Amino acid sequence: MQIVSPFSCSITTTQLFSYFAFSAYQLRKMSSRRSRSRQSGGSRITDDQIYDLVSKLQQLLPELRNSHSDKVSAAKVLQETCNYIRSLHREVDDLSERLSELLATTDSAQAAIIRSLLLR
Amino acid sequence: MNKYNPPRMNPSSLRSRFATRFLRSLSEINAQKPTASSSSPTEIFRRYRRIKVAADKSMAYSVRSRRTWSRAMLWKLRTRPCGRRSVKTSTIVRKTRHEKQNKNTTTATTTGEDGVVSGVEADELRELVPGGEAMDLYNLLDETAHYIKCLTTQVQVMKKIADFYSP
Repeated sequence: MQIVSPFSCSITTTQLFSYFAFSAYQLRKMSSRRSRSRQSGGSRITDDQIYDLVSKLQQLLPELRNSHSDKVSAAKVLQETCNYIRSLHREVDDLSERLSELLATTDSAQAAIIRSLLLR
Repeated sequence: MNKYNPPRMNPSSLRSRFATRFLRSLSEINAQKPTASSSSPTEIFRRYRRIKVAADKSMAYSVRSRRTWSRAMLWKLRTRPCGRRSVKTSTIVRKTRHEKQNKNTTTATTTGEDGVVSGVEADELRELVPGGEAMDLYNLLDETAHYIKCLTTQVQVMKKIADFYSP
């Protein structure tokens, strides 16, 4: 059976059905992955795993490394992480600006020297 | 007479991979500069943009596709200079918008000794880490840890280079 469509090519019902079924399958897969991560405990992602990750993050942060983990809430760790990432981005910006000013005054032969020094 | 052996770097560590790539792109940028206007502010600004992009690109290429954030950053770097919206861009935008609608119902809240992990801070983190919009909380925290490690390496290497160049 063929559907008469306004397009120049006519589409069969089976083709339409398979197209919708495939996209519905994709959407269901995406939403099921989201709902699985929503459940805490009993599914793949447990509270303990998240707690382990949060304490691992805490070890990386310079300010919170020394304080005892029980006193620091997960929200504070996330907040400090955001601040730390922003400050790192700012440092990269400052360093690239400094490098661009420095490159204006030196010649390119030194780059080869640095490479040999750093990688020997 | 004892011979001085300099400490050998591990040639396959993240630091050496990043340093190699970044130095190579730095020398390329250096070779491009026109000798006439190399100290003008516009030229410096242009070079600053190029160096920043080169640093991010070198870091992303050193990590390859092993991490979601590096894949997201590589994809962003590849499509950024084009400027025109390709089909791929619009499908990704549609997908992230759909997942943002799902996110309102899936803000993961865990109550434990460490308190509640609120969705607001997780959203802030998602904006900072490349590719973070499409990750659930567990993967987001995992990627953030690796991203911070790579950023600190990047800062250390760039600092050493800048110190070497400065008078």
